[in-house]
Amino acid sequence: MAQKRVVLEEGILKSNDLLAQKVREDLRRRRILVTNLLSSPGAGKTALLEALAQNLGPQMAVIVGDVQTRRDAERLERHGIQAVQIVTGGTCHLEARMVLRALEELQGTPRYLFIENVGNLVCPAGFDLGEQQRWVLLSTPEGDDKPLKYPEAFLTSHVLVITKMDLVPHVPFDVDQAEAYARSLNPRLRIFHTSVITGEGLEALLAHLEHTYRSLFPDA
Amino acid sequence: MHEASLIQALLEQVQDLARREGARRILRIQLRVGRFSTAVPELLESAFEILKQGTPAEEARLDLHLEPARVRCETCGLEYEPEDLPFVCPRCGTWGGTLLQGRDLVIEAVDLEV
Repeated sequence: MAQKRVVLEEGILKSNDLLAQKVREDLRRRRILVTNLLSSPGAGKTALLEALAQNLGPQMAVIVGDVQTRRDAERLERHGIQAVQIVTGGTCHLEARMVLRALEELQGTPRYLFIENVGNLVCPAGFDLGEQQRWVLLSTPEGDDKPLKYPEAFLTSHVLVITKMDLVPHVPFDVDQAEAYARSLNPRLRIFHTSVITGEGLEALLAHLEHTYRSLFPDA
Repeated sequence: MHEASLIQALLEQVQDLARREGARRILRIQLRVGRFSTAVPELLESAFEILKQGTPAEEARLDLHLEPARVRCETCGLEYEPEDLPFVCPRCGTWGGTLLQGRDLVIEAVDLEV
């Protein structure tokens, strides 16, 4: 019997990354902008998507991941948009192969596809789903030091949305501090402030989506 | 707790390699784990002990090579190893910087019995 050492230097998530690349190329061909939404449970991912749906209507669709139930898909469908639910049955994050399967159920060609990840600020950050941009949501009641406690989600995102801004007078949340912590990890992070109660920041977020869409698909 | 998914992916990858190389057994896997890779080394180890059962890696050892973070200060250009968060440049005191290294989850080498 002989021993052999193989020097591999291969990412552990190579198979996920290959599938993610397939998602990215497929959706780019179909001119669909894909956004992956990450946050703790209860930070307001579904509420933000509901607010965007009011403006975007059937131009947007959502793939939504939860450990159990299709409650979030039902909530989103009430706004007249297409929602495909992935029930992970215990898994704490979405993987590219789940998105690939969900895409088989997606009908038509929405302009914007959102992937609402499982509410969890740790595990989802490790998995590329084939998105063109990643948003991390941080709600004001969670505290302004979240970026330091859960750095990976902030390191890998393009956009930070600080949600529930209407609660700022009632909770100990220093907006400047939260932004400084997040930017200390990721100097290129774009930051938006929103409240689905007052409507604050939604227009800016919609303008960002439109701008990102046009820079990605200039001929569309 | 996504370490089980990571180890499952690792095992699939090294079993593919073993098949390609015509190996009977996998003896050792060396994995680079970045400080900001999202994975907890201890949980990777315990997931490996459980999930390797019944595979050609059943008797394999998992060696973790812990990779420190490296940050570049965008003010003075110094590259340094941060001790904690937030990143603070030890030369000019600037808060934050660009993470250059520390996100890897990479299989560096595999020892096979051929």
